Amino acid sequence: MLLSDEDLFTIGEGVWTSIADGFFEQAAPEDTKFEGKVVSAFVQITGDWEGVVSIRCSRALSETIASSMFALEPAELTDEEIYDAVGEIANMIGGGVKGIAEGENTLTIPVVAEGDEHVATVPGTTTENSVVAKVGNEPMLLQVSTRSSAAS
Amino acid sequence: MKILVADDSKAMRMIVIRNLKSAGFSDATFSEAENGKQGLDSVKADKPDLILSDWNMPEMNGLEFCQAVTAEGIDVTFGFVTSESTADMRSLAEEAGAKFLIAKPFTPQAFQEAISLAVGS
Repeated sequence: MLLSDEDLFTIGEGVWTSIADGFFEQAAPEDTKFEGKVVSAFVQITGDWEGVVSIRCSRALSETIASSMFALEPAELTDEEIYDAVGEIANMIGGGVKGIAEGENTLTIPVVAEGDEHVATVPGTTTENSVVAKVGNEPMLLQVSTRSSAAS
Repeated sequence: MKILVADDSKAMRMIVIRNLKSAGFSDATFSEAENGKQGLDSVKADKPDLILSDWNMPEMNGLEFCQAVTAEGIDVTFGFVTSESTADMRSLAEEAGAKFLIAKPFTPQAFQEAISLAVGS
């Protein structure tokens, strides 16, 4: 296993501190209940270590994050701005995970999806870390999945 | 101090500016560019003291942007803020004239230290 759940939470907390104000607290796995639409964002790491870093949160939390980032009211935000904000969080957390992995590795650009509660996975990977953070009153799920051939 | 932030992600430009303000550059005047080509036009028009650029951008990437700024003989401190930070990239960045490369995720301290060293050198 590349990192512990605690490591993943620490990376997420560090990224959160650099992008926004407010609390980022560890929550229990059963707290992952998203209200309404869900937004998920992925980055893949390829090279000597291969895997996927993903985050998932409600559309409402995505809007809160983007609203704070762009200093705009939620009603003024475009979908593109919301996906850009969530994608960059995944990108930065991915950068933190990549920093732990040994060897030469490359991070892909983020992919963002939105919809009702949905399965979003990269076939051939196994989820090794799963952490729930509470941001305000909303949960954010952080996960690291390893490509099976790289799992240990 | 005039600072140009070039990144094709508006979110990342906002994040970089937020971190720069936390790093003690809250009095700076910030301008933004979505790619290297737009950045080069902005450099010629606004003459910033510092450029912080992403590496991967459409139209003109960060390395080409840095090379163009150096080729034009423009006196400005150029640094990269990027997810990728391999030894090869650091070497290419240095050859192109960049003074530093900050890897994501970053902290305000990372900006403070890199810029202090670059401006002081």
